Amino acid sequence: MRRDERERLQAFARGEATWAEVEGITAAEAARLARTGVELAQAGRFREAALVFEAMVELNPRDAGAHAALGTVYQKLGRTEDAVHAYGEALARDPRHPVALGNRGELLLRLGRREGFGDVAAAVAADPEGRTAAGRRAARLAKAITADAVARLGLQ
Amino acid sequence: MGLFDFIGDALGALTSPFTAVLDAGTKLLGLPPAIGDALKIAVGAATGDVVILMQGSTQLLKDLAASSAETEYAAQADAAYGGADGWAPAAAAEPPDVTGGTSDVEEDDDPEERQALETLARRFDDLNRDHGLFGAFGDKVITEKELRETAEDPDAPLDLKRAARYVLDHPDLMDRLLRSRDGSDQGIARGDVDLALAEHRAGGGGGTSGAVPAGGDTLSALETILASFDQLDTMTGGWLPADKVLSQDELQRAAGDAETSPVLKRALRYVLDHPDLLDSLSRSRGFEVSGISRADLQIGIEDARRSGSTTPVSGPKRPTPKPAPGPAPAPSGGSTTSSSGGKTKDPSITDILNDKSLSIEEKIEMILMVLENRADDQMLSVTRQMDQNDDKKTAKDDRKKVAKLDKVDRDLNFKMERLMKRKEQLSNLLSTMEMKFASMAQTAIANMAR
Repeated sequence: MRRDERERLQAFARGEATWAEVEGITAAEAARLARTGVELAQAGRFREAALVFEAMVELNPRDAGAHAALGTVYQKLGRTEDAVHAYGEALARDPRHPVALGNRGELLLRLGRREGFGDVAAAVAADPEGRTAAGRRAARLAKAITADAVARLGLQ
Repeated sequence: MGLFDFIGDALGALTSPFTAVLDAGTKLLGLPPAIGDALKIAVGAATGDVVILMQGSTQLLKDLAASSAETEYAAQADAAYGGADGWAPAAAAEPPDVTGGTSDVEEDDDPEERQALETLARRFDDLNRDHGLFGAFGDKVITEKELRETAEDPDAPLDLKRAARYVLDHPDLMDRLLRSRDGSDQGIARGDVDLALAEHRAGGGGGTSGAVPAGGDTLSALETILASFDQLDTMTGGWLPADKVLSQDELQRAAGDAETSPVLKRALRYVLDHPDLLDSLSRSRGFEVSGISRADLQIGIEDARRSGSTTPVSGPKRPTPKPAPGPAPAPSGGSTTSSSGGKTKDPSITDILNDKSLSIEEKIEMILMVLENRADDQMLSVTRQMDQNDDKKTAKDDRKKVAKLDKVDRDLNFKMERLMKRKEQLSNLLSTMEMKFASMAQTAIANMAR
């Protein structure tokens, strides 16, 4: 075994490196893997999409994006608790991750949990340009809620 | 707890996060600060109005429910600075990926078109100028009129004007984009933009010279439609049981629906753009119309797999009355599938094989899973054929014909046995692989101690 490989494995054993770093899997390669997962999910093949994102989370548990994407697939599979957990894992790594915030917010509101409002507002703040679908949905929801409130309170 | 049962909770505790949403909404809508303040005061007063506001959002959530939790991969924010925490460092810095895991920047034959499409995707809401009440209840498509308004608006941001003008100046691109309806409005849905962007990335300008995207060939188009069958079978509008047949109208309606996902749109348009394929599939009767049943799709999928063809030159063939011998068993752990007499090229397997981010073990595991799924599909199809055969037998008096059908039955049983054996082999292989991975990980960790 080469010295650098050995060092990487030792770092993994100490919890300082991910398996992706041991294997030399780059962020660009991860993005390609994620694209496969996204396309599978878009095609309605959620079980396979979950497999892809579960693998990504195993390879690099620090990747908030992979946790958040896994959450969306769990949500589609009806695994609500797992989805909330996955979004929580994403936010533990990146508290301003718009996909995790937006989707968890919406999901919590559906479950009747008021914290969802905070997540929706935070998603809008985290993604002001609407670069993610979740950020755009959160903005749409915030706009709709506000417009509805204005109309109901007769403020217009 | 049911949806929004918490409305009855102590109201004071609710107001803070709710106020945050109102704050965000006020800014997004560009409302005067006075209205924002009045809203916050109304909510802060914790009167019964809060309950009413909550009820309003319940309905809004229901409206959004149909398209919840779109799967996307947004890489970490610090990836832009080479952070990419937890992934191995790349030899050269690469641009960050923020939408749908689509960061590959390949050779671009028309960077301006790509830029216009990306602006359309990113600033969709800004270009969709018909916002209805405070921008919340407008339509879901950008019409040609709205594009013109942006192009001519002296106050519109530069990037929006440039994108709008580019689309207006390129009728071919406009034709590709302007394919959705929302009510009476014909326009560009978000899915149309995503679809055009994906095609651009795959091969440029709507071509398909690169990798075939999901839904962009016969096999994956049919698989995608089959996966969304219930969603598409809407002719009865929920008033009557579904007719279990997809008519051309239903396909066209979904292909033009602003809410349809890009992959499903691509699959639907693929079938609609290939009349031979559509004709060969539309062999079942629904309510007064002929169309495509689940079984028709399954037959089409089998034929596409068997032929390995990605283009529907003559469309999938109907099965012969006698069942053909089943395909040769899949090679165990092989990286490609082959059947007697020719190659069987599966796009999804090709995708797996071409995916450089997967190790050999992962590729094998994924391929095995795909094969296992296919065995399931084939078993389902054989079961259906057996059921049909049984029906025919009960309807026949002629002894000779019944004897013939018995023979078909025996062949089908034989095929089913082989498929079950094959599925068992695949399951065993899969669990062996998983055990092997686990033991490899243990060995790796053990090695570190040495």
